Formats: sequence, structure tokens, C-alpha cells
Amino acid sequence: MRRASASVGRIVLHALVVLAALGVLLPLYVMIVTSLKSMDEIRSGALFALPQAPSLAAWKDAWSHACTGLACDGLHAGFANSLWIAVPSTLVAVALGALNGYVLALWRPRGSNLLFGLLMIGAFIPVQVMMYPLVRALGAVGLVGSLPGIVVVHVIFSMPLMTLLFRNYYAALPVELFNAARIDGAGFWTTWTLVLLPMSAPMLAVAAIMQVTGVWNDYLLGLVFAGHELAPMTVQLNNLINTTTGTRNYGVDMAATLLTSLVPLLVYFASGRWFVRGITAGALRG
Amino acid sequence: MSGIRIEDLTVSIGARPILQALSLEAHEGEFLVLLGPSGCGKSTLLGAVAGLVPVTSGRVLIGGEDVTDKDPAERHIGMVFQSYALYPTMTVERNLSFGLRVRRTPRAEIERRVRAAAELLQLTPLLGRRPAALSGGQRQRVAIGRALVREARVYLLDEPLSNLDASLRATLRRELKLLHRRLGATMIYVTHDQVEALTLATRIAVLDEGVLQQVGTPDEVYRRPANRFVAGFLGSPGMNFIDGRIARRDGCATFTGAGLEVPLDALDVTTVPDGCAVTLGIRPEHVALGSGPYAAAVRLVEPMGATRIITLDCDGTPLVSLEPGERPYADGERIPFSLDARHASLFDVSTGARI
Repeated sequence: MRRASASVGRIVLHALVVLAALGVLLPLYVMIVTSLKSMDEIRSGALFALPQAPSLAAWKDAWSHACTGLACDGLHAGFANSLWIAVPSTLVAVALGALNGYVLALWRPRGSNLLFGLLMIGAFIPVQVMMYPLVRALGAVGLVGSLPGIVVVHVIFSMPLMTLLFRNYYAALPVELFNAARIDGAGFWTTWTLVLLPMSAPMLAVAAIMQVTGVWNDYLLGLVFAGHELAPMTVQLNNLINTTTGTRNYGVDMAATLLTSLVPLLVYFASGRWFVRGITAGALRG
Repeated sequence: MSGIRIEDLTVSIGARPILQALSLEAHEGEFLVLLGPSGCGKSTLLGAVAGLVPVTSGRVLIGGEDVTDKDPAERHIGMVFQSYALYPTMTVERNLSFGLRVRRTPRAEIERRVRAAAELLQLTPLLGRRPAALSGGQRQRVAIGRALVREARVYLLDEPLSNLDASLRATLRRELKLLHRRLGATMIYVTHDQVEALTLATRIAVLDEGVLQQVGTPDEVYRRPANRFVAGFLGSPGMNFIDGRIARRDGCATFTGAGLEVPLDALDVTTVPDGCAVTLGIRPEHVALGSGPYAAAVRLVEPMGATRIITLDCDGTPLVSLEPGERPYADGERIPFSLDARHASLFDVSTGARI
């Protein structure tokens, strides 16, 4: 009886997994086949049909010719912008988050619990609430519409999560390790760089993955703070799809959307193993 | 001069006192063991000496120098931690040399000290390994080695053997004792294991609830415990405690309790008034079975190989004897026994202090 009910459970479980996978994969399938079809074929309305003459024309268009507002040279400028924004935003945010976590978990200066509490409250306030004051503040120092401006904004909004990740990671380490380094004569920076950072590889990977994908997928902050010249790929994608001149080419829209989501997808595929390992590192250590 | 002096040390966490006005001295070259149950404050005391635990009031002196407000790094100490606390990303060699590299010791000097420590602790073949590839005993030796390369005159050891299995613990215990003799350095060693304390210490300091109970040689602490706590904490099986009264007749004091009358000629009890309620403490090895003025029923026999633990029932009070005999005892059998009152201790019933 137990075996029978267990196998029924497994069947239900597998059915649910397959359903969930279909929910994700069907739209993706439609996007991919549509991006490979000609407009005539798309208009015929056979949404799930395979393309009769697969062509990468729509992809080329999306990358280098499609109109994003006034300019018509595709998404490639946005791709470069997104890279320019994501790389420094990730490096600075992860470094600062690790440093914050180190101080809050191990040095615990007076008031550090209060500070951490405030930071966590910050994580629950919607970004939109802080938008206007932040625009005014950055405007006052002339940083709106510049690379440092958008990087600073991304770093600020990433601090609660980055700090939380590293604080918990370091708090789970035996405090004796930290004490041993102090006895050995290592100071604030030496302990961090020589003892703790080398042990943080899994968490550094997790934090970097979260930050890269977070920054890459951001639309609102990029729209408000990056300015026209530096508009990230997501903003350009929106412009491309909302452009109303000429005929709407659904194939190009699909290709552009896929191109924009390519980086986070690749990051996940390449580092999923690291991601899982980092998330469970605290529990499985030892 | 590299003794350690602790003067009136109080450590509180929040409003809760962990250590209260504690004074203690480890003389130069001494192996001082801090012994007590978990939570008694012994690790906190060690942490305060190391500079890892903030001191509320009082002073810590190392080699005559007041280090109360100094950083752990400035105290010239070597420390071994319970969990070993080896740096997991570094090889054994880099673990050993880390403290020297951080202090910018000349390369040749680092090399010499690491070689010497590795040689002494038989770590030479393991120098290239990471801690994860070492056994528990090897990790422990690396942890000791990391303290040794500092060539400090003072070493602090926080339950360094408690994570090892029993046979390895005994081996490393002997190695530690030989190492101490060889180095001649001052060591403070924290443990809750009385066997480690008795075998290693030149002196033992017994702590309970943040208060020093007794300081003395292993012999003194074992044979002349300062109070009931120390008496009960040391010894396995534990000391027998029998509640009763002092009776004086013709200048001779006698203890009566649990149906026993024990003459106390061998003890100095002149200050105790007649009829005073006391607790008699007697160790199991001083309860001899087979003959004697008393008799009681056997309740339990626990063979331990070389010896046996035999529990008697004296009018409802259990009395434990440790004896090497082989004679079989039937459950409930009444057997004669004697108490060696020369080794007995008397404690005040209310305060628990030795009389």
C-alpha cells in the first residue's frame, strides 16, 4: 500500500513539474520560432508552427537596424551601455556588501545592530518611494545622467541584500577563526582580505550573480538615472517595441527581447552550480 | 618574567556578570589549568587574558606588563582554540607562517621557525596539505604549531583536546605535557575534563559560576577540596557525601549519620561545636569492603575492568566504593566495610565550605 501511494505521489509530483516547465517553455518556444519567421509567415497566425524558412534576419535587425526612438541602429548600443553599468555596479556592490557584512558580523561596533535593522527596513521600502528625493539629491551634485550616477544608484539599492548575504555568511563562521587571526596579529584589512575573502568564494559568486542579473534586468532606475546616452538595453528594448512608425515586426520584437535576456540567462546557465552551492554553504559547511 | 597575573577581574555581558572580582596568578613556566563545568566562565577568563573578551574592571598583566587595554596581537601570546580554527584556504605551511607573515618577519626566520615547529610536531610531511585533508589529531597539532611559531613565552589553550576521540586525546595529552616540559613556557589551559586537569596541571584553578573556588596543586585540590563543589567536581566516581552531626565524647569527636559512627581522631575538628550539622565527604577509594566496623547491603555492581564500582545502601544513603576485588556480590547481600577517616573531608552543611 505504501509503495502504491508513494508512486502515486511521484506521478503527481512529476506531472506538476512538467506543467510548470511547460508554463515557462511554451512562451519561450513561441518567441524563438517567431523570431525566426518572416512577417508573412507570422501574419498567417500559426503561432506554434515551426518556421518554414528559418532566418536570422530579425535578429540582425534587432541588433543593428531597428529603431529605438529617433535612432535606428538597433540594440547594440544598449548592450554596451548595460555592460558599462553592470560591471562596476556589481564589483562595487559586492565589495561593499562583503565589507559591511564583515564589520556587522565580526567587529560589531556600537550600534551595528541598529544599523543593520535600518538597512533591512530599507530593503522593504519600494524603490519608487525614494526615486524623487534621489533624483533631487543626485541632481544637486550633478550626477544624474552619468555613469557614476547610475552606478551609485544601483550600489545604494543593492546594499541591504548584499550586506544581508555576507553578514549571514560571516556570522555562520566559527568566531574562533576571526579570533585566531587577531591573535596572529592580522588587523582589520588583513583579516578580511587574507582570511575571510578567500573563504567567501561561494558567497561572492552568489552575490555577483544576483547583482549582475538585477542590474541587467533593471528598467526603472536606468530610465530615470542613466540618461539618454547611457540608456541600458532594457530601456532601448522598451523604446524599440513601443516605436510606432512603420509596420510592427513581431519577429524583431521577439529577437530583441531574447537578446536582452541573454546575459542573465547565460549567467545562470554558467554558474547555477555555484549559485546553489553558495546559497546552501552556511548549512552544509563542515 | 612571563607569568600572568589577573587582578580583581570582572567581566559582564550586559548586566550579567560572567566573572566576579577574580584574582589569579600563573607563575612563570607554570601549567595552570582552569577547570569547571561548562558556563562557569573559564573560557571567558582565557578570552580576557588573550584580549578577545572586553574587561569590565580589573587588570591583566603578562610578564609584569599591564596589557588590559592592549590588542590581542600586542600581547605576545600563542593561542590554541577548541575548534582548531585553522585557516581553511591555506596549506599547513601557510597556516603556521600566517602570523609571522602578517608581522613581516624576515623570510629566512619564518622558514626556520616553521621547520622547527613542523619537526617538533611531526608535521613536516603534511606542510603542503589543506586542513580539510588532515585528521583531527593532525589538525590539532597544526593548531598547536601555529601557536608555537610565535615563540611566545605565554600560551593559552582553550579545550584543545575536547574534539578528539578518547585514545587520541590520551596520546596528545602526553605529548602536550612533554612539550610543556621542553618549552618551559607559561601555559593556561582551559578544560572541563578533570582527567586532563589532574594529569597536566602544575596547579589547578577550579571555577564555578564565575567565582574561583580553589587554586592548588592537583593533589591539594583532589585530597583537600576547599568546598563541596570542588569535592564533587573532581573524582570519578564522585565523592560520597553523608549528612550527619558531630558528637563529642571525652574529647573525641565522632561523626554520626546514615547509621554510621565514624571516629574523627585523624581530623582537626576542635573548632566544631558538639551537635553541629556537617557533611562528611569520603572518596570511593577510601571505602574498603570485606571487613570493618560497618555493614550495608549491596545495591549495584559496575565492573570497570581493573576495578569495580560498588554502590551500598546505608540506611537510604547511597555509598559508593571503588575496589579492585573479584569476589562476587549478590544483590542485597550485607557486607562489612570500613571507612578511612584520615582521608575524609568535613563540609559546613549550609555554606559547603571545608571545615
